[in-house]
Amino acid sequence: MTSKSVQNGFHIFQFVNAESLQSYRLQADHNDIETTCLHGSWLSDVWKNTATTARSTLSSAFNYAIQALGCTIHCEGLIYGSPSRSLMTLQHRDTPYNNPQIEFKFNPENLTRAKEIISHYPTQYKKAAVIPLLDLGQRQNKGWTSISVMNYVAELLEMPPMRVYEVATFYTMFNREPIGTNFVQVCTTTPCMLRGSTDILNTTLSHLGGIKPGETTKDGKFTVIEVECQGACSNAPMLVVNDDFYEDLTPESTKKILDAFSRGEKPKPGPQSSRQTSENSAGLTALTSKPYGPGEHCSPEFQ
Amino acid sequence: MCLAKPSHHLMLSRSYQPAATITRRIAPSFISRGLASESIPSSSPPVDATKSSDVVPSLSPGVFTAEVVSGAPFRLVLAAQLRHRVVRVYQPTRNTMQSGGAKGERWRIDFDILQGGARWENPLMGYASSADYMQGTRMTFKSQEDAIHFAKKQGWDYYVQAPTVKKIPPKNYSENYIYRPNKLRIMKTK
Amino acid sequence: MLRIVASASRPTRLAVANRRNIASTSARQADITLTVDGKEVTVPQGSALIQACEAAGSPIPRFCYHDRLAIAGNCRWHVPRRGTTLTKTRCVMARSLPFLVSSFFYSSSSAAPAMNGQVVFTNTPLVHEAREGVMEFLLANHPLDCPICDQGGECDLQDQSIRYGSDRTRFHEITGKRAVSNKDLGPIVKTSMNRCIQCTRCVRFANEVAGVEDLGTTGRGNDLQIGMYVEKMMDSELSGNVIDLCPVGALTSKPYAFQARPWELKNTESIDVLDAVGSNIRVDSRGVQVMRIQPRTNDNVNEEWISDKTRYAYDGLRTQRLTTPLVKGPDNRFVAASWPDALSAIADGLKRTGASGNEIKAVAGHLADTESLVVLKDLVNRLGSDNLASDLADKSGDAPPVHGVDIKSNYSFNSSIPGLESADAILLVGTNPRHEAAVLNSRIRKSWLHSELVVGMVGPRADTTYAYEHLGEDAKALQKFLGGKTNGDFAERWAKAERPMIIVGSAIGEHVDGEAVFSMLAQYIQSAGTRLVRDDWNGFNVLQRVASRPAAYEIGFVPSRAAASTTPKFIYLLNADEIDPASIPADAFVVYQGHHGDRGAALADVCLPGAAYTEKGATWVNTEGRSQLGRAAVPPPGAARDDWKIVRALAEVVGVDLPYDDVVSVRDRMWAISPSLVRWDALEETSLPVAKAGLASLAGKKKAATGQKLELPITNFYQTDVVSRASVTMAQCTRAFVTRESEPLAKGAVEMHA
Repeated sequence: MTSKSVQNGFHIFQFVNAESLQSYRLQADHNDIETTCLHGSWLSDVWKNTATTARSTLSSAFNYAIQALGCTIHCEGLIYGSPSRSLMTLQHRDTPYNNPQIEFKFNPENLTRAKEIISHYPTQYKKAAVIPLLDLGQRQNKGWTSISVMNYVAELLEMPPMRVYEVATFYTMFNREPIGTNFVQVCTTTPCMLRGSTDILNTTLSHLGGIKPGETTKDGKFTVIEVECQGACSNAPMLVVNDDFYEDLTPESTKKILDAFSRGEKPKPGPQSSRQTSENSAGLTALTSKPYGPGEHCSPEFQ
Repeated sequence: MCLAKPSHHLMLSRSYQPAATITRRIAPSFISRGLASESIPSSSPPVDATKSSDVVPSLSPGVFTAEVVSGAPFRLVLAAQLRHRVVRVYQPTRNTMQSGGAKGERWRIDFDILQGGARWENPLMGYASSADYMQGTRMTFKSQEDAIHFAKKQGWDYYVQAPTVKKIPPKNYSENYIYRPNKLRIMKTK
Repeated sequence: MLRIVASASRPTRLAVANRRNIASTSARQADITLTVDGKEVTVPQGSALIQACEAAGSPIPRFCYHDRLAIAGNCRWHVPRRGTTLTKTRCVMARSLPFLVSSFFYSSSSAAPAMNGQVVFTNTPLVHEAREGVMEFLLANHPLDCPICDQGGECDLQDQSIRYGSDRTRFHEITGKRAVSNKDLGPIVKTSMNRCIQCTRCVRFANEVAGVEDLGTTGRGNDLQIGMYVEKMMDSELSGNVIDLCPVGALTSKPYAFQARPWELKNTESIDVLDAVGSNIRVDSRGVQVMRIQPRTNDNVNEEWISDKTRYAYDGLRTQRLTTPLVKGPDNRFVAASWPDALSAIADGLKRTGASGNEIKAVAGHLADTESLVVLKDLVNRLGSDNLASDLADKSGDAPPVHGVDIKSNYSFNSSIPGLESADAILLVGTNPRHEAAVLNSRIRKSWLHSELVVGMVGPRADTTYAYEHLGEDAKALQKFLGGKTNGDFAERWAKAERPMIIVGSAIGEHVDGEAVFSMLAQYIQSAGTRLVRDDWNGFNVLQRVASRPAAYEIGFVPSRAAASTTPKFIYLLNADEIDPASIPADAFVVYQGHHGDRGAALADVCLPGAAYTEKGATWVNTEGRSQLGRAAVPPPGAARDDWKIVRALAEVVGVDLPYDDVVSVRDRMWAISPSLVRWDALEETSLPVAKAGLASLAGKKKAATGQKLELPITNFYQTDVVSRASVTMAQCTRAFVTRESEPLAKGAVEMHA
C-alpha cells in the first residue's frame, strides 16, 4: 500500500489488490471515498463510483491525486500506443499548476512582438494572429500552453476563449501539459522507421533513465515524445530538440546530443554524419564540374 | 366600428353572426371597451335582427350528417353528445427532434378534451382511463377539404388551424467566409 | 411546407454594399433552375443544393445541415449524385469518416451551392451505395445502445440507418469504439458523448443563436469532441434547444431522462404562457401528466426555439396544485369544501362585507387567460364596480396604466417580432429582453449578426447576447439622448437609421418615471415625423413580459381613476400571485382562483382550483397583440375546473346573469369586445392615424422625470411565476445559474420525477 498526501488535507491511499486491480481511497475532511478501478480505466467510471456529494469538494484534489500517483487513468479518449502529449487530454481540469487563477502576461518584449504580429492582419480579423501568439505564449511559458496563456491570448485578440481552446487543442505542437527543459521529439514515421528510428527511440528512452514516450525525466530536463513526419526524410532518422533538427542519427550520436543537452550545451544542429545538409552521402553524382558562369556560352558580343 | 371579415385561415365553422344576437341581451354599458367611465364609445357590432338567437349548425348544402343517414334515433343522447364536440382540423407541425418530414402533408382531426372525468389514472396499475370515448381518436386525411367534409358530416363544430409556413433564406457555405469590413460580431467556429 | 425566400428572415441589406464581388454566389438577384431527379425546380441563386433538392420534393438525409444554422458541411451524409458535374469535395475534417471513399464523386450537398442547369440525382443505386458507406462510417464509432437511449424513436441516425444503412457491420476493431467522456452542461442538458457524431449543430446553435460562445470542438480527427474545454455549464436560457437539434442521443434532456418514449405521448399543439412572447409549443402528455414540452415551428413568433423556462417548468404543474375548493375556517385554516359550498361561502362573504360598487375589486394575475378575464370583468362590472386591477409591482397595477388602454399600439410590440429583423437601430429602454422575452432576444441577436444593426440601452446594464451602447440608467439619460445631446456611435447611427425601433420594457409602466418616459418618447416620435411611425413601419414598441397583460389591456381590465382610490372590501384574485400583500386591507374578504397554492392562495379566505395553461383551451394574446389559441392537453387535477366556468358559476350564485353558457358564446362575447381576440394567429396592426392618436395621448401628459434609476423587473429568469416557482428543474437552474451554488443535484431531479 502506498499513500500520498496531496494538497490541503486530501490524502490518497493506493492498494494493489491483484496484478492490475487497484483501489484508491481518497480522504477529505471526514469523508472517505473509496473507489476501485483498473489501472488505465476511465476517469468517468471512477467518478461514477464516487459519492455524488463528495464530487465537487474532491474535484480538483482527485484529479491531482491521480496524477500524483503516476497511474494512468485516461481522462479523455482511448489512448492508442504512445499518444502525442497534446491529445492526452481534450478537457481542461484545474490543477495546482494549471488553472485560470495563475496569471500570465506577455513580457514587454513579447508584447511588442505580439503587436507587430497583430498588425499584419486587418484590425477586425486580428483573430488570425491566434497561432503565432499562442506559440509566443508557449515559448514564454516554459514550452507549454497553460490555460492562462490561452485565456490571455483570447483577451488580447478579443476572441471568445473557446475559439482559442479549439485552436490550441487542434494543433499537436501546442503542449497543454508542462514539459522538461528540452523537448525531444523522435520521428517514427515510415522513412525514419526504415532507417532505424526504433533504435533511436529506444536509445533515447533508455539513455534518459528508462522513461516512456510522453514522460519527463525525473530531473525535469527532458520530455520525449514520438512524432509523425517532420519533413526531414532525406536525413532520416532524426529527432527534434526544441527548435532544432538533429539528423542522420545513430544511437551513438543520439547519446552524444542528449549528453550535451543535459550538460546545458547546445550541439550543432543538422546532420550528425559527415555530409553537408542532404547531399548524397556517397559523393556527388551530378554537378561535379564547375558550373558555367554568366555569358560563357553566349556569342562573343554578349560575353 | 365595422366588423372586419373573419380571418380567412382560422375561423369557427359557426359564423360569428350569433355574437350580435347575444350582445343584444347585454346592457350597453357592459359592452364598452376600455375604462367604463372613460372615453371610448360603445363598440357594439351591428345587430342582425333577422338571425335567430339559437345556434344553428351551418351545413353546406348536400352534406348529410351521419346521424341522419345512419337511421339511429335522432334524439339519442349519444348523438347530442357527439354533436357540439369541438374538433380541430390541423396539419401537425414537424417534430423539432427530427429532420424527416414524412407524413407532414397529412391533415388531422382531433378532439378537444372534455373537462372533468375525461381522464384519470387507475390507482392500482397507473393506467390512464377515460370516460371520453373520443379522446384517443385521431383521424388522418389527405387534404384539408376532406377533413372539413368529414367534420361537417359528423355534425362536429370544427376550427381550422392554419399550417405555418417556414421561411428559410437561401443558405450558402461561402457565407461563413464573407468579408466583413467592420468589427466582427461572431467568431465562426467552422 | 418549405419556402425559400430570397429576402425573408435574414436581412441582406448590408451584403449588397459590403460584399466583395469575387464570390460567384454573391449576387442574389436571379433565380436559377436545375433538375433534381428529373424534376425542374427554380430556387433563388445562392441556395444550397440541399435546399433545392428539398424544394423539388427529394429531401436529402442530413445530420449537420439545419435550416436555421450556418452551414458546416461536415457530416458528409447528404450526397446526391451530380449528373453533369464531377466535383472534388471541399476539404473538411473527416472526423468519424477517416477516409472518404466516395468523396471524389460526391460532394456534400449542404456545402455545395446549387448551380444553374445542374442535373442532380438523389435516387440511384450509386447514391444508395454511397449513403450506405457513409452510414457505416458513422456507425463505426456510434454505440449500439438504442434500447437505453432517450433519443430512440425520434432519432435521425436511427431513422436514417434503417432507411439507408446496411444490415451488418464490418467493424472489427480490437480497441473497440471511440469513447469520449461526458460533459456537465448543467441541470438541463444530459450528455452521452460516446453517441456524438460531431455534426456541430449544438456548437453552431450556441454561437449563433444562443450567443453563448462557450461550446466548441476540441481536438481533431478521430479524437475531436464537443465540449467547453474548461469545466463549465452551458449558461444560456435557450440551452434546451440543443437537445432538439442533436440528431442523435448525445444531448438529451436531463429532467425527461428515461421518463417516456415518444410513441407513448399524445401531442397537443398549444401556446406557452410563461412569458408574453406566446411561443408555440407542443405539449406531450401521457395519461394525465405532461411529460415534456417541445417547440413548434412558427416563423412569426418563436421560429424553432423556446426558452428553458417554457420547456422545463412543466414539472411545476405536478406539485403544489390546488385540487379542491378550500374555505378558511374559524381557526384560520383551510378546509376542503365542495364547489357549491365554496361558491356560497363567497356569496356570503360578499354579502357580509357589504362591499358595493368599486369596493369589489378583481385582480388579474400573470397567468389569467383571456376568456376568464372577460367573464370576470363582466361579472365585476355587473356588480357595479370598475375596480379591475393587475398584480404589478409596487401596487402600480391598482392604478390605471400610464400608457392607457384605449389604443392598442400604446402597449403593444408594434413592429412585430419578425419586424425585428428589418430594424437597423434598436433603443432598449428599461428592459433586458433576454430575461423578459428570451426567444425574442434571439431574434435581436440574429438580426445583429446578419445586419449592421446597432443597439443602445437606457437602464441597468444587462448581459444581452449582443453588444450595445449604454446610454445611461435613468429617464434623464433618455431625455438627454432623445434631445440629441448624447455623442457616440449609436447616436450617430440612430440619427441615420431608416427603420429605428424603440423597445420600452413593461417595467417602465410600473416605475415612478413611467409617465415621463412614455410622454418624452411620444413627443420624440411625433417630432421625428415619419422616421419612427409611418405607413410601413411602427417603431414604437412596448415589450410585455406577462402573458395575461396584453389581453387584460385589450379588454380594458384596468381600474377607473375613481376605482383606484377606493379601499376594497371584497377582492377577487384571478391567478394573482405577484400581488403585494400590503395592498389587501385586513378586513377584506379575499377569494383566490388559480392553480397553485402560492402567495395568492395564502392570502385568501376561499380558494377555487382552476386549470393551468396545459389543461384548458384558452386564448392568449402575446406582446404583439397576436391572439393564439392554447389547447388542453391533460385534464385539470381533482375538482379543478376551467377558469371561465368557475367565474360563470360564481355569477350564478351571486345572482348575476351572464349571457353565455359555453365557450363558443364566451368567444362571441370576446368578438363583440374586440374581434382581434378571436382572430387567432393573425396579427392586426394598428392603423397609422390611430397609432398617431395614441402617441398624441401619451405626449399630452407632461410630467418631469425624477431621475430615479430604472429597474429590471426580472432578477431570476428561471422563477417568475407560480408554475416555474413550483418546478424542481427551474429550482436547479436557479441554483446553477443564478445563485451559482456548486454542482446542481441532477440526480435528485430524476428521482423527484420518478
